[in-house]
Order: sequence, then C-alpha cells, then structure tokens
Amino acid sequence: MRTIFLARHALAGSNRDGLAACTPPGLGLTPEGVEQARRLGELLEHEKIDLGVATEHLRTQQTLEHALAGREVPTIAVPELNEIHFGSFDGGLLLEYRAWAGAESPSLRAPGGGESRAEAAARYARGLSIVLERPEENALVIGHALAVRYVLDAAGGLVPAALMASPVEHALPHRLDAGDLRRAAELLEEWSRAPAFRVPSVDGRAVP
Amino acid sequence: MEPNREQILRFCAEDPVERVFLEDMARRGAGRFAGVERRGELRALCHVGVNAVPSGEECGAFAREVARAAPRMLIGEANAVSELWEEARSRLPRPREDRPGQPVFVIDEAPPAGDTGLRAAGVGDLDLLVPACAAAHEQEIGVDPLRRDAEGFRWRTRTQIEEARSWLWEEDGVILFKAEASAWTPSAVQLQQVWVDPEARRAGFGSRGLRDLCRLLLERVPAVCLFVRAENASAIRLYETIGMRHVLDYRSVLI
Repeated sequence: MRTIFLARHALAGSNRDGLAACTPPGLGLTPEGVEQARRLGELLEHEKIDLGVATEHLRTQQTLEHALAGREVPTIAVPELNEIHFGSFDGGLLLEYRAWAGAESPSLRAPGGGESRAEAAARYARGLSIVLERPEENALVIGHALAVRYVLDAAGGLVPAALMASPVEHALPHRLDAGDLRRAAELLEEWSRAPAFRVPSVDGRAVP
Repeated sequence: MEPNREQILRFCAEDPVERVFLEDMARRGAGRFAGVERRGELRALCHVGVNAVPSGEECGAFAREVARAAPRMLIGEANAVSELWEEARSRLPRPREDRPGQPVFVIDEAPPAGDTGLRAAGVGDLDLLVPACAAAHEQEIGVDPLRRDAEGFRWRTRTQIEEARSWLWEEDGVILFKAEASAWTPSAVQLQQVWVDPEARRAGFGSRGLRDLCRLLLERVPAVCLFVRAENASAIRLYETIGMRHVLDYRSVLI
C-alpha cells in the first residue's frame, strides 16, 4: 500500500437524528449524504484507486459505492475499523454518550457491554495494519468519525483526546501515505496499552 | 469500447498539447475513458467524468455514455466538442454557457527571465491561495466554488500544492502572480488559474511571473500550454507578448 485516502462516511440517517449507532448494518445515507458521497468521488476523480475499504456499517459501504461509481475497483469490509461499541448508549442520543465519554477514563468500557476508547484504538491499529498489508497501491478507506480523528491525530504524532476538538467532516478525503498509516497504527497500539488522553491545549502530551 | 493505457498513450502522442489532460489522467491510472477504435488504434477518445473531454474524429459516438455520466462541462478541441454536443444535447440539460473558440496557447522556447520571487507553493500558502484560486476559478467557469463546495475546493487546492503543481510570487500577502498545473505529462504542462491580485495588476507582474514559470517548466518538459476565454483580450495580449503561440481552439459547454 502506498497512498490511502481516508474519509468519514457521508451523512447517514443516524447522524441526521443525532444517534449513537454501532450495530451493523445500521441506517444508510440520507439524500444529502448521497450527494456528499458523489462529491467525494468527484474530488478523487484524478486519483488512482485500486481498492475500496469500508466497515460493516451500511453508511460506509454506501459512501464507498457512490464515491467509486463508474470504477471497477474491488472492495472489502474491515470490521476492525467499525464504529466504537457504545454499549447501552447504542441507539440513544450521541450527546449522552459524548457526555459520558468526556468525563471518563480511556480504559473504561462503556456500560452495557461497550468498548473502551483504548480498546477501540487498539482495534483501529489492527485495521490499519490489515489495510497496510494489502497488495494494492492506493486505497479509499471509509471509516467513522472517531477512527478517522484518531488516525489523523496519530499520523501527526498526537495521542487521542477525550473529546474531538473539531468535527470530522463527512466525506472529505485525507491523503496519507504508508508511513503516516504505519506511524498511526504504532502510536494507537502503544497508547492503548497505557492510555491517557492528551491535554487539548498541549499538542500530543498526555494528561499526567 | 474501453481503451487500454497503451492505446490511450499512443493516441495522445499524436497531439500532446491538445490531449495533455487525457494523457495525464491515463498516466495517473485515473478517470474513465471511452474510445472509438479502428484496426486496433484509437480514432477518438473521451474522458467521462465530472467533465467530458473528447478528442479525435466522430466524437458524437460518445453521446450516450456522456449523457449517462451527467457531466458539468464538455471541454476539449473545438470540433470534437461540437460533434459530441450535437449528439448529446438532447439528453443533457440546457447549457449555462457555451464558449466556442477558446484559444489554446503554447510556448516551447524559454522567454526572457522575469526576475521574480516565483516559488513552489507550500501548504503554509493555502489560506492565501484558496481565495485567489476561487476567484480565478469563478472567472474561468462562472461559478464561485467556495459557495458551492468550500471544503472540497480547499482540498483540491491543497492537493495541487502537495503535488507540486502550484506556484506563486507574493509580497506582503499580495499575490503578484500565481498559477497551477491542471495537467502534466512528459510532453507538456497545461496551466490554469493564472492570477494576479487586483491591486497588483497593470504593473507587469503577470508577464514577469509567467515568464519565470515557463522558464522553470521548460527545463522539465518541452512545452507549456494553457487556454483562455476568447473575450479575455488582456490575457491573450499577455500570452502573445511573452512568446506563446495560438495553436488550436477549445470549446467549453458549461451545463
């Protein structure tokens, strides 16, 4: 793998309704989301794409499908890049999960059989490794907001923050090379073993 | 038929300036192409995407495929676009604008030095470049890209910088000259969005900047080309002044 275009999925019904949604397949794209996904395809029109990567969630698969329309590109689902498991917050308001997540430690699992941020980070690292090991040169990877934020931050040397400081735009590509992705995978894997959120105002430094 | 890369490159080699965009897309392994073949060689080729870009003979053959793709613009060599448009117009929306006779200029000998501070743009120039690129885009296409898709346009501008296809000469935050490469092959570079900030115009910066950019590029490729709106007399005068030759005409049908 040489180049990865990483993007969050386009607007889905669960985003429109402000819901935490982690059980696949989940809701598909809204009409606005379909337009966003098509725009993603337009933005990448000048790029060679050999592989499409989605998760098990319909919103990522539909984004990929629209973005790659007209191209004959193999696609795979990488469950390791699935949405974080929200536990008992699944199906409820995302705001409620965010309120809980903003106040709790990264190693604490969401109640109701959910996943901790550290576990999700380790899983994302495994997902990145799967993509990196693929023989294709250029991939479009459609993921979820938390995964995209973690990967972009980690590629820039930043450990995760308790809450995302800035939203991850729907269906906007981020170009990463294999080195970026490898760096992100290593940092997330390492962080997940002794997780501490970074101080938002201090680049990359974890809370003591 | 769907042409292969070798067929496309042979076809483009017949006219590397007119077909610079098609060749660039093929070399990148990007884009979708349709072709008309005769005895194993392409007689016509069309890139089918956001823009439909036909070239060659009997391009009306691409009408059905182009209509299905619902492009925003048909652009390319004037006769090829005219043939395609005549066949496809009944299946496409009424055009916003039709621009026949857009001259394509080319230069293959280095002009005199402009003695400017021209340099490759860096990501740190992005905030300065985005409004200028958007203004140049609106001037060329008639649509403000920051109103239609600000994030997407910013991404495109950033990509041009990251691909080392963007150059500027600026002083104290004023762009004295800038341009981007819209296509790049071993045979030619096509420039777009040539721009001087309004407050810096009529001082010769555009000519000096373009001369230095052409000199820079002609060290790496045999030809630099661009096309311009037929009514843009001042730009045409500028291109002629630095030694560019009018070699063919494009036509754009904006949908």
